[in-house]
Amino acid sequence: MARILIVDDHAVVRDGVRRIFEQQEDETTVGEASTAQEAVQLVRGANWDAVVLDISLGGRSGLDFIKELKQIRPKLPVLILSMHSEEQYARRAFKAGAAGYITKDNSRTELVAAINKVIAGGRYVSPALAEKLVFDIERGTEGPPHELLSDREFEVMCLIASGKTVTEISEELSLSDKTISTYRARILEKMDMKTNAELTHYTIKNKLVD
Amino acid sequence: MTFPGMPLAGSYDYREVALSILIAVLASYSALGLAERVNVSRGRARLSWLVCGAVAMGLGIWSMHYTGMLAFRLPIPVQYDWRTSLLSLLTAILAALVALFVASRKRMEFARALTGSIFMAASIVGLHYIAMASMRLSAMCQYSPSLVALSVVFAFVFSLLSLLLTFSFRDQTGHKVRKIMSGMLMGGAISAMHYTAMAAATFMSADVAPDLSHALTISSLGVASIGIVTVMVLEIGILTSLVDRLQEQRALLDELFEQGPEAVVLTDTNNRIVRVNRAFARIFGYSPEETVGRRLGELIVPDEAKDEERQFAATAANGPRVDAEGIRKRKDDTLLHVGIVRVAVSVPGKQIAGYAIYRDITERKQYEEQLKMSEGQLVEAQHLARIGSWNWDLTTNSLNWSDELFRIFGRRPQEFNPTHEAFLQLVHPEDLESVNEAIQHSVNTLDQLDYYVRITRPDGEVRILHSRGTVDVDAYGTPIRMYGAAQDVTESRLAEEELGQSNEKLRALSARLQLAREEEGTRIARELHDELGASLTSLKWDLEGLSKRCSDWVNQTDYSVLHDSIEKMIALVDDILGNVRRISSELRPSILDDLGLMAAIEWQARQFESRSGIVCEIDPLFDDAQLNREQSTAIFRILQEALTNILRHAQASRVNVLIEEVNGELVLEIKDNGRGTTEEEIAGSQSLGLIGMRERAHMLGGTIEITGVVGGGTVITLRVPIHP
Repeated sequence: MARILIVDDHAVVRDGVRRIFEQQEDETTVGEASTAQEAVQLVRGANWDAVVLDISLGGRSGLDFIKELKQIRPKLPVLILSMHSEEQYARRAFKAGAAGYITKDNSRTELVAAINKVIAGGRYVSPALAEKLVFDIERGTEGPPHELLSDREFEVMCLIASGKTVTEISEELSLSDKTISTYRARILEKMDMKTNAELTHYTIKNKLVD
Repeated sequence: MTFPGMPLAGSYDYREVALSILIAVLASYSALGLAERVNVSRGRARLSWLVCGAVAMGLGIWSMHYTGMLAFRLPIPVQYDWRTSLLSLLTAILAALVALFVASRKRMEFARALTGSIFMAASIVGLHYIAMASMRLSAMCQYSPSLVALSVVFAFVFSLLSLLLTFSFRDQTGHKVRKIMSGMLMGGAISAMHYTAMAAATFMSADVAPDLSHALTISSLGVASIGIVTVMVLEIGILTSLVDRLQEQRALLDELFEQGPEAVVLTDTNNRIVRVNRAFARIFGYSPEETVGRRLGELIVPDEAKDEERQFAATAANGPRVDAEGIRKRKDDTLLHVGIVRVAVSVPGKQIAGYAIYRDITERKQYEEQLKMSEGQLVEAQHLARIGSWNWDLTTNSLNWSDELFRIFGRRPQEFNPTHEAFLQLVHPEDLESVNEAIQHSVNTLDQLDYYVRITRPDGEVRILHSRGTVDVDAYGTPIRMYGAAQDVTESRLAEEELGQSNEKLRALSARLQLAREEEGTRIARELHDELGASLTSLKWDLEGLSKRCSDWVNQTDYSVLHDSIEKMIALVDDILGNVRRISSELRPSILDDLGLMAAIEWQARQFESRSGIVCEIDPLFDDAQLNREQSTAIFRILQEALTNILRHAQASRVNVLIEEVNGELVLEIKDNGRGTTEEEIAGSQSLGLIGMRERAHMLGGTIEITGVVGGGTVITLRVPIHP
C-alpha cells in the first residue's frame, strides 16, 4: 500500500491525481497539500513513499522546494508533475534532486508508471522530454570534445592550460573573475573533466597550445 | 719821323687784347644761352628772342672787334668813320641772326650747317674788313693775301663750330660748365680770326690827310663797346633766369592741371571755357577742343541743375568758394554724381578767371546707397532674429550696442550707457564666473568667443542669450577689439527644455506601457498556462479514465463508438494544451520568471534553432541573480527582437550570442554571419525593431551599438550598467 503526497495549488489537478490513484487496484493513500508550507508539515508528520510536486508552486520556486524536501527526507523520491515541457526545467529539477519529471499532458497510465518507478528507486522522465535531453547530449558527441566549446571558452581553456590564474585571465580579457570562473566550470563540464591539470594535459596532447 | 711809303710799326696793348678776348667769350656765352631760349619758345616769343638774340650777339662780336682794334697802336693818330662802323655793326647782327636761325631748326643737317656757316663767315669777314675800312688815318693799308685767306678760313671754321655747339646745347639746359667751356672756345676762335685778319694788314705812311668828317677817336668807341657788352650780358642773364623761372612754374602748374584725378575747367570771367584737363575729357567724354569757348551750362549741366549752376557761378564770382555735390551729365547724356568746387582766380582788384573742379563720386554714392540699404537690412534682420550686435574697444574700454541689443536687454539707448562693467551688472550672478572665463579665454587664445548667459531686464525678467564674438589684434598680436552678436534664445531654450521634458515623459509613458503590457502578458500567460492547463490536464485524465472504463458499462458496438469519440476528445485536449503552452510562452515565457535570464536565453536559442534552422551558439556567462525583473525582461526582449531581425533580414546560417560581465557592465553580443546590416538600414526610420531595441536599452540606462560589415555579418552589442 503506497502513500503518495500530491502538492499542487490547483484543486482540479489534486482531484485528478487522487481519482487516478483511487481507481488503481492496489490501495494507494493520497495526501494533498496546496502550499509548500502545508506540504512541509505533512512530510514532517508522516512517512510518504513519494511526493508528486508541481514545479510552479504558487509564489515559491519549486526547485528550491525540492531541495528543502530532500533536506527533510533525503530518501523521499520527488516526482515533478509540471505544465512545463521545456527541458531546462527538467534538467534543473534533476539537479535539484528530483527523481522524475513528467509533464501534465502525459496520460494517467504514464503518471502511474512514473510514480511506481520513482517509488522503486528509479528515475523517470517523459518520453518527449527524454528525446530533447538526449538530443542535447548528442549535440556534443560528434568530434573531439573541445569542438563543443565556444570561441571564448576555447580561448579561456588555452589560457588556463598555459598556467595562468583566474585573475590573470580576467585582466587579460577585461572580464570579471566570476565570469572566468563560470567559463572554467562550463569548460570542465563540457569537456567532462575535473581539474585544470586534465585540461592542460588535453590541450598539449591535442597540440592546441604551443 | 715818318715818311710816305714807310711801313708803320704797330704794337698791341696786351691788357686790351685780353679785354677783347673776354668780350668775345662773354658774347659767345650769351649767344649759346639765347639759342636755348629761341629753341624752347614758340610763336611771337620765338621771333622776339631770335631778334633780340641776334642784336645782342651781333653787338657782342662787334664790340670785340673794336676793342681788338683799340688794342692796336700805331705811331700816328687813328680815327674811325662812324657810318662805316654802323654798317659793320649791322653786318655783325646779320651774322648772328643767321647763326641763331640755323641753330634753332628742329633738325641740323650738315648741308644746312655748312650753308649757315658760309653766310655767317661771309658776314663776319664783312664785319671785320668793313670795320677796318672805317679807320681814318694818314696811312695806306695793304693786305697780305695769304693771311686774308687764312682769316676767311678761320671765320668759316669758327662759324661751323659755333653752329654745331649751339645746336648740341639747345636741348640740354643746366650744363653750366660745358656751356662756359664752349663759350670760351667760341670766344677764342673769334679772337683768333680777328687777330689773324689784323695781321694780314700792313699800314704804310702817307701824306694824304684822312677825311676826318664823321670820324671818332677809337677810345670813345672802345668805351661804348665795353659798356654795351656788359649791359647786354647782364640783361641777358637776368632775362634768361626770369624766363627759366616762368617756364618752370608753368610746367609745374601744367602737369598739376593735366594730371590731377579730378576734372578741372579753367573759365574766363564770362564763364566760357578756356581749358579743360585730361580728367575732364575722361569723365565727361568731351575732347578738350570741343570745349574751348563753350559754357559749362551748355555741355555738362542737365536741365534740372541749370539754376544750381547759375547760382554756383554767381557765388564763386562774388568771392566765396563753392563746395557742393550735384548731378552732371556726360556727352552721351548719361548722368553722374559729382563733387563740385568752384573758385574765382583773382589778382588784387579784379577777377581774372575761374576754376570749376569736378570729382566723380558715382561709385561712392552707390556704396553709400548700398551701405544704407545693408544697414537697414541688418536692423531688420537683427529685429527678426532677435540678434543684437556689439563692439567692444579693449583699448578704450568703450562698448557699442546695436538698437536690437538694447531691446533685448530691455533698455533704451538714451537711458543706458553700455560699458563692460554695466553689462556684467546685468548678468545673472550664477553666470558671472563663466562669462568672465569665456571672455578671458578668448582674449588669451584668440579663439572664437561663445557662451550662454542669463541676463536680467529692468522689470526683473530673465532672458537667456547666446553670445558669440571674435577678437581683433593689432600688428603686435595684442587684442584691441572684440565684436560679435548676441541672440535672445530664451524661447527656443525653453522650448528645447519642454521638448526634452515631454520626450522624457513620452519615454516614461512608453516604458510604463511596455511594463504594463509585460505584466498583463505575464498574468494572462500564467492564467492560461497554470489554470487552464491544470483544468485541461484534469479533463484529459478523466477522459482517459472514462475511455478505460466504458467497456464495463456498454456493449461492444457502443464501446467502440464511445471509445473512438473519447480518444478524439483526448487528442483535442492535447492539442488545446499545446496551444495554451505556445500562446502563453509567446506572451511571456515563464522560464524567464522561473529560471532566470540565462535559462530563458538558452531556451530561446533552442527554440530559434528549431524554428529557423539557423545554428545558434550561446555563451550565457552571466550571473543573472544580479538582475531585476525589469532588466531581465528588457534584455530578453532585445535578444528576441535581434533574433527576429536576423531571421527576417540577415540571411545568416549561424548566430553567436555572448552574455558576460565586463567592467561592471552586462554585455550582450549577438553576432551573425549574414549579409551585414548597412548604415542606411540602421539609420532608417522604418527600422522600428531597432528603435524598440534602443528604447529598451535606454530604459535600462544602457546603450546599444549595431555594426554591420557588408558580407561580413552584423554585431549588435548591448551594454547595461549593473552596479550603479
